[in-house]
Amino acid sequence: MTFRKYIVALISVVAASSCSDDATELSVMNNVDTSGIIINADITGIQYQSITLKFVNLSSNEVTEADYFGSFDLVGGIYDVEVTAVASINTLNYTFFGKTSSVVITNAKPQFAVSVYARNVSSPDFVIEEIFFTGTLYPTGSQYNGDNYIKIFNNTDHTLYADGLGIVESKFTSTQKYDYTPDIRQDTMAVQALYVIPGGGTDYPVEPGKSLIICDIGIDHKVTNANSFDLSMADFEWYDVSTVASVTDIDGEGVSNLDKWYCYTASIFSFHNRGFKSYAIVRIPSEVSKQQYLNDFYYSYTYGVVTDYGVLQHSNYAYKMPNAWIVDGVNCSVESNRTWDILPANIDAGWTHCGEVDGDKNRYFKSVRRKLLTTIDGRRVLQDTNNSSDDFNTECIPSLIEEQHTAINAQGDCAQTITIDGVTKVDD
Amino acid sequence: MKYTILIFILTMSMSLSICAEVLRVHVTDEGGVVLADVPIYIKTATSQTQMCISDEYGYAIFVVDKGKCDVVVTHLSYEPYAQTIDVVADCSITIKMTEKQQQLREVVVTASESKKISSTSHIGRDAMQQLQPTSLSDLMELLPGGISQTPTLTQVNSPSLRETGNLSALGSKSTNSNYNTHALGTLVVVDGASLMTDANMQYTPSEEQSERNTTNRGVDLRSISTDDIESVEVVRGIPSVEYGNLTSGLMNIKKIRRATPFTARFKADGKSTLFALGKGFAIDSGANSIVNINADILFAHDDVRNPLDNYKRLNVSSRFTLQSNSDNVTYEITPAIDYSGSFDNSKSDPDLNYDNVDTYDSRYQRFGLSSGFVLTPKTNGIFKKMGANVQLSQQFDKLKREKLVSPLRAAIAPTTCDEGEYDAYLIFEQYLASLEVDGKPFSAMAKAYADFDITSHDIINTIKIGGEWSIAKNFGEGQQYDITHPLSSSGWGSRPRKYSDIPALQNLGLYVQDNTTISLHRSTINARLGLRTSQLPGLDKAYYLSNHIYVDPRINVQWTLNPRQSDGLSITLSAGFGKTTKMPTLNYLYPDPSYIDIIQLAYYNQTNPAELSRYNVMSYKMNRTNYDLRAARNTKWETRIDFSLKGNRMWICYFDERMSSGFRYSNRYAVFGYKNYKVEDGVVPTDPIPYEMCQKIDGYQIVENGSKQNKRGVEFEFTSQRIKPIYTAINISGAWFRSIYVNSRPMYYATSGVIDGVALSDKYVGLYEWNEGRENEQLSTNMMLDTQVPQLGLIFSSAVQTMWYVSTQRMRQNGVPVSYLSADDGELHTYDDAAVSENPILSQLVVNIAETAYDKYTIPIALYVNLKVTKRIRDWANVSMFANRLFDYTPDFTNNGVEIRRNVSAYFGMEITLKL
Repeated sequence: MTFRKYIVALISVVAASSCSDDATELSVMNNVDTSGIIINADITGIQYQSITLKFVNLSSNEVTEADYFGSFDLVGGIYDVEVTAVASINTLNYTFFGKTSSVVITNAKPQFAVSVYARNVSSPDFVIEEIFFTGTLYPTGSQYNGDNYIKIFNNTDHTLYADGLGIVESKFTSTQKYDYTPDIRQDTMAVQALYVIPGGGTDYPVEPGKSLIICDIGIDHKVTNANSFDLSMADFEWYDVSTVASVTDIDGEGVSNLDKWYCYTASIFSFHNRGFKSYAIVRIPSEVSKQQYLNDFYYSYTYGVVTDYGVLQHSNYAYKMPNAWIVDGVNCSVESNRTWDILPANIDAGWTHCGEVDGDKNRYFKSVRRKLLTTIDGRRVLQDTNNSSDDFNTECIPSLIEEQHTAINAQGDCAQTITIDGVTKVDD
Repeated sequence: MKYTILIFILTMSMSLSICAEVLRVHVTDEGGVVLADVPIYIKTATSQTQMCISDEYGYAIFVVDKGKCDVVVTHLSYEPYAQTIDVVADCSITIKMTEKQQQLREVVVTASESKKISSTSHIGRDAMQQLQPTSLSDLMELLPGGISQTPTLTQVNSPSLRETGNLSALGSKSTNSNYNTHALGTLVVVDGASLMTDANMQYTPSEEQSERNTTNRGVDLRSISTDDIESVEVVRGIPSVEYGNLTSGLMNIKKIRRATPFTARFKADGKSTLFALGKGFAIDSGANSIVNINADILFAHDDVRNPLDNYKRLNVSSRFTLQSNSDNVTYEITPAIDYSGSFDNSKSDPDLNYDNVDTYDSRYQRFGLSSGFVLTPKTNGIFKKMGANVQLSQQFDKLKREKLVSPLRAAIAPTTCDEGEYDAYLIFEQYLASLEVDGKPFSAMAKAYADFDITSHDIINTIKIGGEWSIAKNFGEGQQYDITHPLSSSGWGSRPRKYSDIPALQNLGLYVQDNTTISLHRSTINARLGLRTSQLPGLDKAYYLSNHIYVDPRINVQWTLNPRQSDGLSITLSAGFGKTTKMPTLNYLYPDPSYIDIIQLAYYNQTNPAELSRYNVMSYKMNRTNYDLRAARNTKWETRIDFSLKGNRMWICYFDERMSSGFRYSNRYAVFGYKNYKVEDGVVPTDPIPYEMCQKIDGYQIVENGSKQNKRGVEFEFTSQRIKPIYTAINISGAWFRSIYVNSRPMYYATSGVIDGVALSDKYVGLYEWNEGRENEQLSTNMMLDTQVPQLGLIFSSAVQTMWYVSTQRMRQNGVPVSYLSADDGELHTYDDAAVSENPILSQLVVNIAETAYDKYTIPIALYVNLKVTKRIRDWANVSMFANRLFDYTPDFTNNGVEIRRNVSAYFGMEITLKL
């Protein structure tokens, strides 16, 4: 035993009685005072009819539902707090929803703020149907990631045009939360990659209930990895022109290339393969040109990182994507490392995942797929409540793997059944 | 002899008067070796007790009356002898004395600072036995400022003298190939011949397992075993001009060359097991011809749970020592033959990895043949001594790497080692890549010197003249692999190269040194002045070094008051100044060419990808040789004061070493042209394909004298005499080091950033006159209580090792470039406000460094207690054990609001040495 351990042992014996006081403070707190919880709707003259608080304890996963105006007890700890508020504005009732992550609650008068947003009441539009970011494995178990794809689904009853629709990946990571200055997160998403579907406005129609496949490399990947699948029929691919021989991208013949507006790396873009980023489809107003966007939406920020040698100031840059332009967005993370949700609650009040922990070896060959809500005259309608925790099936067999009956694991076992949304089987 | 004569006269006179008898007593030990100066007592019934001391041949003569006679012999080191004999006539008896058991002589268990003119630590056999080392690198703990380290035998252990070593921002040791020059420039000499590493080139193209790469890092100390070493002298100060091609210092190893019993040593500790055998045979009775044979084998791993990551070592050494006398001269010939093998292994467990092959196997095997020759005339003339050393060594190095390469996506690989345009090979699937690096470094050296003595009345003047020549050449096949299946699917940038095509490197040094000792009334003055030249004969004329001769002056002066007084105060003042020069290695003089590979055409065919896809590449082969490369030169000076009083000693030394010409690989950028072929989607490109000419900036590295490594500090030591009642001596040594590691030349740096889908560094690269480096400090002391109880055969040493603080601070770095390279014209332009206002993109070349990065990071006190015990069991065994960091005091500390806790784990080991 070292000297230090002796000292620690001594102190712990001496301090044993005083410790118990602290322990009670962190246990059950009766009659929690909600006056320190600020519900911020950014609307003047709002009258709340009811406010429901849902506390999710991050260490025990225990859920406490409470009435903001009532009395309730809570165990001290770190919580995700979801707020559902009913408010009347000009005598009309609206439901507002909001969420904040990783709030430390240690006393009976917690102090934090939650921004709430009216539930999306906009008309149906494109939604993200599926994201396959994990990649596949070679028969030897090594990673292969050229086969990432995202599916964009027309969730309306009429034909939509995909021209000008952009695919973005967030700059920020759901496993690392810093205080970014200036903080633009309330109304803007910081993006590090933006690829835009070309076209003059009516070049790429998408029928109701149909989807577009947008992939990294639009080739038959079985040529390289027998466990992968064919993407040569994809609608679009993002192709990164490279002059560096050690970094090559492949331009899949016959698959249209997305227009690359911006990417943080000069080499190859692929989705975050452990799933720590948020993804969105955006519609940039036609009056904003690429050059204008690159000039006007540059976002330079600083943040402090706590390291072993103190708080280090870092600076970085990204591009701003106003939330108003976001058509649909999905937060991705893993349970063990998630610290926050990047997109605000009015775009995605939840988060979805492939894998439970960082670097989960079971995540490969899996995607997140939006749930089927109903079928109207043979047209699928997908669930879109702007909460991906509810709207998505997690860790599904990707739709393309199902359709092509290709491998679902490194051993090469093939997909047998075809589903609509990863869970609901197709009835023949 | 006086006594004998006296007794003889006495005996004669007495025998005349009384009728008495002569008794001759002969005293020897059990082995028959005569014992001189042993008191012998004789008592007869009629006479008083007589005492006589044996002469130098072990004889004593008594005159006694006839009759019973008691003989008693006593000696401190032997069991008392007592016997009664019956004297009837003149007679002689032989007494064999039995040595007292369980007694150790006192030994020196620390490195002792020699009284020599330059700062030198002497580490003897006894210190090594108490330390229980696994390799030479463990001995570094004994130098001033040294702290025991848990061995890291799965990495190269480079020598490091008088420096903190390169530190990370968190104050932990880290290797940085930019600051290897002092390790490279620490000479290791074994029995007069230096170990040469200039032709070592065992590395892989992608620098995997770089911690096991010895290229340009000097002698790997872990490969040298200590069991056949008699002593190591570590010259930290200014070495004699006899030793050259070094910057930092010198480790002079003397191997055991004497008759020794058969010794077997078995050592085990947390990370290694060692087994060593040795014996020294005296071939003739006069011990003029001796053969020493040693062998040892070591198994080590870094983590007990991972036996697949390991290091093995096998050393065999046989040495022949022949001393001979003729009428006029004595000479000594010391030939030796050595084998040394180092085996580094690492592989992933295939059972855990879907048969995923990933193995690394690096073997280093050296066969050495050397001999020394010293001739000393018996006559007193001007010519005092001459000597020579020759050495031949051949290494057989083999690095084998096998790896399953799984490209994350289809990739391309080169198909040629030549410059030009060609279609690349498209990698569609995973493959088993194998690489073999075959190195056969050969070296030969010869050195000769002669000493002349010009001594007048009270001035002793010795002149040494000598020269040293060496040659290093690598006959190996070099890196061999299939370029279309490299170790990494992004494995561009390098191609296989045959090492045997690289010319040989010769080093020539000539030296002259004068050593003068002037004896004054109560003091002596000793001055050593030397000059040494360094040059590279036979080097291509294109090199600056081909016709440049460096001259290193080295001066040491020492003044000693009361040099021979054993009781009174003796004071020594020493000072020295010197330059040392290390010539570049083969790798620095003839670096591998670098390749710039630019994709000109990328076409993938969906229907028949293997046949119809085309990736066309333009490869530029860049010669990275720097013909203007200079030698690395270190300027050293030191001053020392040394007090001795009644067996207590204290010395303190201040040193300052400056070197700004250390070797490093530095970035260079240039503009390269290429064709941007236009391919239509869905159309198989057929020649001629239309294209436009483009150009971009790309980078490679050349060797440069671009590293500054400055070392400054204070070393000190206090040694007490042994405090008899507690059998204990106190030794406190320590050092304060301040070391600077920084670039000494402007640096090109490519800032990251993407503009319009093109990397900023493809268009502009800045040249910065900044200090990219760190300034490190540390203060450490080592207090050793060394308790020796000879009666119990016990040596007990407890060391309190304290690192009082370690600090590191990033040097101020000016992030604004002085000029920039533009892809438009390939020219360097001045970087100023005007240039930025004209082209705002250039503002992105400014490198911003957070202000907090310049904060000094200080690790407070860390105190460790190490225990070492040796118990001698009769004559035939020594049992030792050590426990490093058995106790520690490493308080938590706060830095910038973050509390840092430190964990320390103890390290144990034990060994047994049997002597037969």
